Amino acid sequence: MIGVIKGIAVYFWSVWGALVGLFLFVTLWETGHAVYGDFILPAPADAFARLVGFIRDGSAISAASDTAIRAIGGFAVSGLIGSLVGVMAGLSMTAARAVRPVVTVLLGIPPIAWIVLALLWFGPTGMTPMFTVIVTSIPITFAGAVEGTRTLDRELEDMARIFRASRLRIFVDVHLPHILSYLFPAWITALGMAWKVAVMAELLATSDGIGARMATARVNLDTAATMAWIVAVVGLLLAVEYLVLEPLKRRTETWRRRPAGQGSSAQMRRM
Amino acid sequence: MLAWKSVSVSRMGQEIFSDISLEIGQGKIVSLVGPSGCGKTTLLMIAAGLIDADSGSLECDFRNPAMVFQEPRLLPWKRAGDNMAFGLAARGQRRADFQHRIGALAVTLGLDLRDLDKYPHELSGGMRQRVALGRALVIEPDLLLLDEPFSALDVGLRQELQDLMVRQISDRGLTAVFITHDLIEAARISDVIVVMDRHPRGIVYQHQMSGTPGCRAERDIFNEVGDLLAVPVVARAFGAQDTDRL
Repeated sequence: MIGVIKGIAVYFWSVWGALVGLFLFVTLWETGHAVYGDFILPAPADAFARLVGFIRDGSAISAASDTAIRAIGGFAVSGLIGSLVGVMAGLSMTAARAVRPVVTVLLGIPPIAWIVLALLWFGPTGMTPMFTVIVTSIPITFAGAVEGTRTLDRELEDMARIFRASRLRIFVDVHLPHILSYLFPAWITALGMAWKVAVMAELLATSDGIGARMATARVNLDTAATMAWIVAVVGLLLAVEYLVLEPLKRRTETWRRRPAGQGSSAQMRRM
Repeated sequence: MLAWKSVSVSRMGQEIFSDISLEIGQGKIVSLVGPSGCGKTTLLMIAAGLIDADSGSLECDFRNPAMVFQEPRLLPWKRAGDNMAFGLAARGQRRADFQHRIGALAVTLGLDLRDLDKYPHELSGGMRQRVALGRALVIEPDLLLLDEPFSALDVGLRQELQDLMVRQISDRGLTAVFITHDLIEAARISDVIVVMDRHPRGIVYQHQMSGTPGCRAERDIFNEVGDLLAVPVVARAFGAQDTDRL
């Protein structure tokens, strides 16, 4: 119980550190505003005020939820497919050799090219950003899964076999934690990219979502509104990463982290 | 009884050894010594069921083998206590049933109960090897396979863990096969020393130690190792420079 409370306290303290960096960034923005003026770079306060306005009239919520469904939905699909196919490819050398060039090609195609293709295939619907997110983030999750599976520790597996662990137990206790330690960073990268790609695809392809709102703001030469929407996207990304993925990662990877304050001393003690 | 009968193994077209026969009696501690690459580990892996021999057979009356490796091979994502319990959990035993046994064994092996809640990376090398030893002993094995379990530890700690292990083996009446490249270590803790070589491949000499493992005087150990190294095939297996060092 005390451990849990301590864990939460430590987590929030680390968030506090991140906040300092964030405020530093806002300060820079304010300085930029002071130098270049309202049109080029509106003041952070103006942008936030606009965002609050959008939240009040409900447009922020509907735009954000449209974008979130596309980004998170696409991310979920690519995470599932990429991870599963990646694990299978990692288990078989032949499969890895067959799939690797395909992934390299997929990685090489710029997201914008996919958007054009998706536009031709799906038209100005929500499927266009969703599809673009899926194809651009699958290679990332795939690569993570392949690396995790290929680096599995044969020695640990031998140990488990000697102690008569079943195949299921070997997978759950020996292989899965290792693969997950590679998959989590890949998932976080893919999620970050999913937001960016979703907004970009919306900007060009749809009439709803944050990207479409930014397109409108651009047409109206409304820099403050543009900044407001950028803040909204970044806020959403940070919220998902720090409130969902990061705690999840910490929970599953306590074995990597040293408990604060006692790590090095415990290691230094000879026996 | 554990017996390899004219066992041959080759890997990637290269012969590791051929036609090796060795029998290990009930309750004996047998050391396999020899230069690296002579196939000691492969012999042990066959006994553990991890490698199949290309020809020949393995006869094993033991039902419950356990193994300790040169590296602790703990699961980094499991606490020390859960690592020790790995073999028990793999056998489908419930945590509540073995919790007490783990604690008691940990204390015998010189572990602090608080260490059981730590992850392997928070423990020192010696502690990790104690956990690995505990993981092997807690399943109450009848055969213990040891692949240079102490070679990564410094001298004082190595001797402490050797004594600890020999005591556990004799208390439990275990049969043990112990790989080492250190003749002194072999002479200290075993009943029989089996010397293997690369040229000629295979077992070149077997020596029955006098006295009881773990109860020999240092001087007797050195004398017996000296006598052993006077045997030409043993001296050749260990090389001239090794003889000088010893």
